Amino acid sequence: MFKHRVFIALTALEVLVLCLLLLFGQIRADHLLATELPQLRTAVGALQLTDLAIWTEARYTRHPSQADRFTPFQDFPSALEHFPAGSIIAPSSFGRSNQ
Amino acid sequence: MHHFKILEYALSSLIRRKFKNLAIIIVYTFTVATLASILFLTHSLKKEAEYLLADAPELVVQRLSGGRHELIPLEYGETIRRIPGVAKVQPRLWGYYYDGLIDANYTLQEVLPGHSKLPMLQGRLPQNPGECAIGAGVAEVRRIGLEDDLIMVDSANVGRTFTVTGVFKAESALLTNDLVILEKQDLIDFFDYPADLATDIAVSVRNPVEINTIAEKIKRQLPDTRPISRSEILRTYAAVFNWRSGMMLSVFVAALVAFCILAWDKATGISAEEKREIGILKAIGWETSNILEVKFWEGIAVSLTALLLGLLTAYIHVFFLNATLLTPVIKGWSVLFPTFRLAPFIDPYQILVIAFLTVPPYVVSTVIPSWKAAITDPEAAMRG
Amino acid sequence: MPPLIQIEHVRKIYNAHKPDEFCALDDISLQIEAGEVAVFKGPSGSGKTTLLSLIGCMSRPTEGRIRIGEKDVVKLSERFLARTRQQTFGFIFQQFNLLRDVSVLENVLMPLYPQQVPISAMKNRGLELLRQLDMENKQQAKIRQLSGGEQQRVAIARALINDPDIIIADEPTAHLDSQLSADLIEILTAIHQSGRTILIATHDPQLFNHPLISSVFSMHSGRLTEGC
Repeated sequence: MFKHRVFIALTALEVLVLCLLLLFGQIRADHLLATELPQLRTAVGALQLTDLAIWTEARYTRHPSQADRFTPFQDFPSALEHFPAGSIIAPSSFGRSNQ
Repeated sequence: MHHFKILEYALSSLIRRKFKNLAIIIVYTFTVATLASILFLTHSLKKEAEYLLADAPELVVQRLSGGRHELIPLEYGETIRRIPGVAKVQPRLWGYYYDGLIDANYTLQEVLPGHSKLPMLQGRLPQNPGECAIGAGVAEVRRIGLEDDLIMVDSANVGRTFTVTGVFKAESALLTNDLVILEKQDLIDFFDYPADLATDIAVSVRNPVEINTIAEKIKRQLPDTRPISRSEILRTYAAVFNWRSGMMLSVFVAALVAFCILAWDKATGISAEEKREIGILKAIGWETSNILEVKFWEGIAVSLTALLLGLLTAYIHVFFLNATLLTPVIKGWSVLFPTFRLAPFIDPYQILVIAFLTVPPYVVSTVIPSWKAAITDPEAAMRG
Repeated sequence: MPPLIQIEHVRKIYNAHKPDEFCALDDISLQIEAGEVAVFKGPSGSGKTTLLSLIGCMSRPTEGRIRIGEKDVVKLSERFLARTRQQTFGFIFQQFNLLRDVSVLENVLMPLYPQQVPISAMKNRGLELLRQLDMENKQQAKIRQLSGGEQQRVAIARALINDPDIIIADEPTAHLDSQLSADLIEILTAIHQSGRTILIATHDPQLFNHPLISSVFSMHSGRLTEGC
């Protein structure tokens, strides 16, 4: 009749592991902020990059910050968005720049 | 002390229906893990984008014609240079190249003066014609490395060979995965760009507070241009990885539907067997509060276990396994897609939200259906 | 000393003011002294089970008063009613009402879970009762693996686990053959000898003619016809 002890112990273990992972993550994030990420930031400045290189399907998914709301539909009037990543990325909602 | 015993009873009750409850825990854990994975991934990407792109150009000026992005005359740069507050004007040359061999798109970019080596680059940036530096993704798909040749077909349909002088490290793939850096004249010849045009113009400003003012001046003086500020670049990524974006919303809605089905199944009433059990417990002296406490612990045991296992799974999946299971879902048609070696930035608020969405609704949907049976007179139990 | 159980002008009406209104008990008054063994006899539907459930604080009468010792149980809140049920009564149901997929020992211990009794003390108490009823070697067996007579013993052990003053048995010999019925009567005798009051609803003649029985109440159509 000690299932409750097993349950409490397992739950406590899960919480502990999660807390340790979060702590480890915080330490690692701080370490990366001190070492690797500044080097990446240097590359951004040196190469004048404006976007992360994630979705390389189309120009507006590769450089979403440089595209405007209409770019996905420039191929022809009433063109539908046909790149999968285009439906994942929300369109930019700039005020002045889109005018 | 009796709370532990009631918990003991609740656990025994769950184990009596072990296959059903195990299935619920597995499905629930999977739902939480999927939701948490997306939240961890998007938050981490957002924070990294915010940090890394803080050194992006302060202003990028594009030229638009008929709503399309066109090459910009270099003389626009001279006009911009004369605006008070502008520190530096740098015309940029870059474009896209479709590699028919592997159906991949590369971003070709000119090397800017003043840099030959970078911390994240093995080797060096191109300094002479016929040289290039490539991203790790390009190196991988073309199976080339330092001092190998990269052959690309230019706008005149002629194959051009470039010697690889530098390969960006895999750790920088998030920024450089598809890049091919060429020497300026090589890029101009490759795309056959007119000598007096650039792709766009990067502008540095003396006082960052004046960025928007200068952008407005540029727009006024050059009405066919579109200035994009750094803050707008950062906002793009905040929106891309926002929970309302397509990526988050589709997974969130699916998880919500799964949860609603689960809750509906529980809330539509308890089984005859459970009703009988509650009647017996009441008959032998259990109070209504004891019975509701059993249901409470049953709900907590299942939902808390699913929450913790789901969060652990999501964390390990995103930050140790580089979100490999999500990659096929979000890569779309991208042939070159970076491996997500992300810094584990976690927003505690998101964990609280997941916990709030996971535990209380499940506990409520376990306790409430038992309420009616729990408050009924136990006399029915006497009648068998 | 006042009677242990006093029932005054009790009525129980189900579905009052509805088309299927049914009067299960009509103006019942009786007294039972501590230490008595009382039998309630009558055909099916005479109200025996309803009366026992009212005495056992399983539900409240529509009218009338029920006193257990000095407590007027009709006026008690649900919480104190449950406590009275727990501390004063032990029930042996007609269908046993055991949980079939749960072990013998766990069934016996069930009334103790919400109480401030340590787990080890609970187990010891349960095992002692099973030993007295010759069921100790089946403590881990599931109820569905037991015969009718064995299930009966488990139900008795559960009824005794709280050391109650009053045992209520509803048709205890209904599912037993004559040998097992005789065994049951022996057990009830032993329970009675330990100083408890026993109330039995039955239409088994073996029971209401037994020397163990101190009073017999006959019921018909919700009324007492004998023994008021």
